[in-house]
Amino acid sequence: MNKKEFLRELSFRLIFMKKDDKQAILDYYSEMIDDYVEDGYTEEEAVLKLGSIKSIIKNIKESKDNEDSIEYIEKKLEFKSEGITNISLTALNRKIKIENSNDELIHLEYSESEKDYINIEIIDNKLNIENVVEKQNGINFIINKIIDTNIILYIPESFIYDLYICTKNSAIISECELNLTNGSFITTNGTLNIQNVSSTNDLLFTTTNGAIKLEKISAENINIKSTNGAIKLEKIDSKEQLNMSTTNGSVNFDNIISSKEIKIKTANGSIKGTIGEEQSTYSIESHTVNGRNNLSNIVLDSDKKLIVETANGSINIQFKE
Amino acid sequence: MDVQLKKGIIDICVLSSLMDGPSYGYKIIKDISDKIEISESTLYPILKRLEQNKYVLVKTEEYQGRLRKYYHITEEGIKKIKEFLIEFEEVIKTIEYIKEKCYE
Repeated sequence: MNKKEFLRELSFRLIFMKKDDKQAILDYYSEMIDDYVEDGYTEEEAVLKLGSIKSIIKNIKESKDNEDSIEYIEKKLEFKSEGITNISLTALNRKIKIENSNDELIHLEYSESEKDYINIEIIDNKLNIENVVEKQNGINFIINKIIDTNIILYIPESFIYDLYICTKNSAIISECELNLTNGSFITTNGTLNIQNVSSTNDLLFTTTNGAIKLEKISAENINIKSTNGAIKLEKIDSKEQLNMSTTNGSVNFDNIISSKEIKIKTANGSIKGTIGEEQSTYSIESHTVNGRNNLSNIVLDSDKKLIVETANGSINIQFKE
Repeated sequence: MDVQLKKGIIDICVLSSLMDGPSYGYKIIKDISDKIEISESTLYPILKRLEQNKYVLVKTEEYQGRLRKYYHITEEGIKKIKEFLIEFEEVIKTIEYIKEKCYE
């Protein structure tokens, strides 16, 4: 692990901490690694010197004085994945991270308080995980504005069914291997950072005020939607429809493919990228009002289409030679 | 060493390492690790505790393009060390008594 990876991992494990306290810990370890490096160690060696993240957290918890203990308590749950064909996780103000589990179980790690807790039910084949936040005077209980309350969901690689992940005002991060039937990753005011997901049916990625960053995604139909954020894609493969749209952000991509149709749409951003196939296979419909456009519109007799639209941005799309 | 006893001594040991002047995490560990068992993860809560009790003052300073936290011992910190030494005299007396009883 290098410094960045270590700090990211530590940051994720420090659930249920006040943000300031958490930052102080991250600063401390960041400084420590820099000092090791200055002393001639590599980042990786420095990280090893610091001991395991588990022991770091243990030391922090043990020394925790009563005065800064928070009403949040940490929970770890596990479920048999056998028979489950649908996992749904909805949360509020919580960052969600998906990881692979090492066993055949579904694990869940989170923290909860009396006013911000998690309800879990299994109905038929569906595992429903819902974050409930009680309202105070009509306003959502917002203590976790100052406390990071991540949820980490561990899914076995053998889970090949439906996954629905939704949070508000926070990010969704998934870098592990997921082979799903249908998958939805939805947030508002947060970013989506998803990698290595394949699906036999449909995948949906939406956010309102955040960026979307996807890498190595494949599915029958892929829908990517943001309003005020940029979209950045790498290695996207769709068997049918590949749709991406944003209003006030740019769209950037590298190596995207669709067997049928690619539709890229923004209003106030530019569109730039490379299609992972030759141009000759696509009918092209492209349009911009106030920007440059490097594409020529072509109508072919095939049903393979590339539709590109923006109003106030330029279009610059290259094809694989 | 007994955990509680060690916890008390280690705090004072870290404080004492600041008597020669302000220091930072990495250096503190280097300076005292041959005298008492300490690691990065055990030092953090100690520094935090010392700061909360106002025995040290933390100043973030720029160092070679990055930030580093320097810990300065306060008057209260110095007082704390002195108190500890006086209290520990009592402990030493007790230990002398224990030794006397066990070895003689």
